[in-house]
Amino acid sequence: MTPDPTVYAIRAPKQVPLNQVDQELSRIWATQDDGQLKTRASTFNLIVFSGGVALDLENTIGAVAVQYPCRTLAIMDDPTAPADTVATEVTAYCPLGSGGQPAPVCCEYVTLRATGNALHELYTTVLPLLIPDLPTYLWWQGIFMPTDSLFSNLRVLAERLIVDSGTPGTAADLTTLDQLPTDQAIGDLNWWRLAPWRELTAKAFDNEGRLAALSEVHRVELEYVGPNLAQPLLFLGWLSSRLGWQFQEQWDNGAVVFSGPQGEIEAVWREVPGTTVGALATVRLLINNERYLLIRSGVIADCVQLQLEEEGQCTFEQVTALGELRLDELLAQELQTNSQTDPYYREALAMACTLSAP
Amino acid sequence: MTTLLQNPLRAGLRIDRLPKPVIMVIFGASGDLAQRKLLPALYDLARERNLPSEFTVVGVGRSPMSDDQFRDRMHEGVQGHSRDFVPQVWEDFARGLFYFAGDLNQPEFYGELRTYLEELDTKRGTQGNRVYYLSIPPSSFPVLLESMVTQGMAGTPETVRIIVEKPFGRDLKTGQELNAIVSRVFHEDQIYRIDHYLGKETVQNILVFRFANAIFEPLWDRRYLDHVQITVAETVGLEGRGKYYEEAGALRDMLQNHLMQVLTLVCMEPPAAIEANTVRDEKVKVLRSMVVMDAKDVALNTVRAQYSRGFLGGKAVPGYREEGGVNLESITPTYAAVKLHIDNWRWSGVPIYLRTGKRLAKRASEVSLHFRESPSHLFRRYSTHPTTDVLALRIQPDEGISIRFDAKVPGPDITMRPVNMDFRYGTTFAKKSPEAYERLLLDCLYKDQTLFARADEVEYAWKVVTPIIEQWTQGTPADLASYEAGTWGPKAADQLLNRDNRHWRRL
Repeated sequence: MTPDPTVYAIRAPKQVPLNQVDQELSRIWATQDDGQLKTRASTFNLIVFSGGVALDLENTIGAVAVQYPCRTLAIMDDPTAPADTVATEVTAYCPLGSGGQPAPVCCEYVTLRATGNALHELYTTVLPLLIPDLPTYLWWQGIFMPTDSLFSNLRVLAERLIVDSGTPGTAADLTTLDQLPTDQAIGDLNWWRLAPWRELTAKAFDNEGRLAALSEVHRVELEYVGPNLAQPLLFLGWLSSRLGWQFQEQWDNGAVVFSGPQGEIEAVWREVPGTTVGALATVRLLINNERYLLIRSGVIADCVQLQLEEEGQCTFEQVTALGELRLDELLAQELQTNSQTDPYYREALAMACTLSAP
Repeated sequence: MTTLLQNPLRAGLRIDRLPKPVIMVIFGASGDLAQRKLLPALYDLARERNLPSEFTVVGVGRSPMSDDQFRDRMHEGVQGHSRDFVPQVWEDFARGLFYFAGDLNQPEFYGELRTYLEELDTKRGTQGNRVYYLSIPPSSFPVLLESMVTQGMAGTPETVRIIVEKPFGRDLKTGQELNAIVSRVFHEDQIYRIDHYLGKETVQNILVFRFANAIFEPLWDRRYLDHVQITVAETVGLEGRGKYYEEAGALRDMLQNHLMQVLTLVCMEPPAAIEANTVRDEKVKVLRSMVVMDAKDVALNTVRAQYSRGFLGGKAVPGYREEGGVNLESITPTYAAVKLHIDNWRWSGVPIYLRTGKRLAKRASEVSLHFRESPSHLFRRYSTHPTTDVLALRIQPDEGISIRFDAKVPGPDITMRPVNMDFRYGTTFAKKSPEAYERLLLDCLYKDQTLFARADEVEYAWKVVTPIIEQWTQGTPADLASYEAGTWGPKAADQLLNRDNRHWRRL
């Protein structure tokens, strides 16, 4: 494996028998003689499942090691792994700080490769490898299969399930997520990608004078880079649930209609070309005949721009950096949040599912 | 002053509230503080979407400057000192920066300023809300404050706040006078006395460490503690502030404010709630319980010193009296060590040693709690380095907490060695802490005074420090010890502890 260039392995990954994982990790920490202090601090366990699709191990390692000292158990569905057994590799990664110097925040990294039955029964292997008495998160990167025994067993071990409904190819299906028990804590990285859009939309109406205009929104137009629809659906799910709109029907042209406190609201979304698959590109709220709110990316590099147009004039403008959308930053935000599941995410998810399959 | 959840779209967002639209008027905006600290902090708050889009800054100063010149000047500061500079966000933020030149000592200037701010209210939608930041010498306060009253600019706690930078006076008398001047115009709820030390994450963590964990607090009193040390050591010299420092010295510059603030957080009782006045009530109780020294105590329990030339970081550095703006016969102390007592149920008999100085061996700020010896002598003869247990809260650098205790060296014999159990912020949380000014300015916009000093807090701190200042002022140059730059201070400071059979912790 080739880790992210911003991290380095304290020692090359080494194959060890399963029962010697802890001893090997202790050996790694005990033999640091490069003069750099590396404290064996841990804040949580992270179980990462990378299924049988294109893996993104480099980013996984970088994302975790750069942010927190923790123990990562990376489970790989590897058809080349020996049958009925689990191949184990152990190492530890530290991020490179400014000037290329190793930083002291390090991450223990245990890779478990298995296939077939060995994979499906892997959770009993995972159990003794967890650092006791620390929170455990399950980051499910593979194809999302809630009936899969490995998934259902690992899910129970973890305080929170982390998924990404926006990852091309391995996107967690919104409907499947919505069907998980309500007490299942879910963190969707795609929800964090929407944060700047949600915050800017909210900000436009913070002003007491403009707050009343929220009830005058009568049309929502969304543009996104296809084919993944999760972002526009979650955004619309959030907006409609927050504003108390009720879904009414979907027209033949694809538009959906809500009923709101002040009447009907029509919402449409369409695909536009772009490089960031699944990303929202434009949000336009038509407030009345003379006013609309426009939020769009791509006009100013790495930023989202908000403009409120009233009677042909821009009366309010704001620019926000999209600087926190890298995988490691999204994961960091998810791991920093205290709440188990954002209740507004569940609300938005439920509405998004209604819209995707009316 | 906050827009809470009236906006249904705010619910559940990372920032579920924003300060109300406001103009921050910075008096003394052409100075270093605005460029190096205030504007970078405000920009970082804006970049992280913590400020309303109407947020406006008006720099006020004597130097004539256009808005664009002011923006260019602040651009340099923000680019150099912000945590993450994004040019596009700066462009957006800079549209809310303005400059208004004038003579602060002329009462008529304030009428013009008021009119200008009212015009900006219309243009920027700031609704008459103001934060006045006084980055000017206290000598300019009387005209400014009286003119604000005349011009009806003082508002109410809901609409107007004022931030005052230290020094909050020079001693008890001037501290009281300054408080009286400010409080004639502003209600205490409107006054934010800023001490940037309180904005540091690790200082705030003292409260979390003490009151969110059950294992430490039972040990935190005279039954288990032998003494407490608080050190704020600097390696820097005067950095061009010779004139100011000659007037201030180590007591006024550091001890009366930064060290006393840390002391109160370490020694206070648990507050009823984390609210401005409940926290500050407890801090004031500590200050009120402190034993005020008489002349004899000052001679016995304090050490003052001045650095002479020496070597720091491999470079020769001048002595204090060779620095620019310093009198050749100056007796201003650049080092202070003080032994204090708190006469209350928790701390009686536990001395608190404070030390601070410039041009010391290392930049380090730390609080250490030194425990009493274990009551039994079971293992004393086995110890290679007889020590007592220490709990250290490191404020900077390497922010963290460490506990030193004895452990058995593996082997057939009983041999003991002290070991350190170390928690470092840097190895546990990779997230960068916001700058102290970010936290404090945002708190002020949210009308939260918890991390700002209250009038009585400042006055009680002066009450403890003023007798020392008075005695030191009456002393002769011979009373002033000397220490070589790059060392840990004068021998007299070591003797202050050695006399009590203790020693300063090596940092």
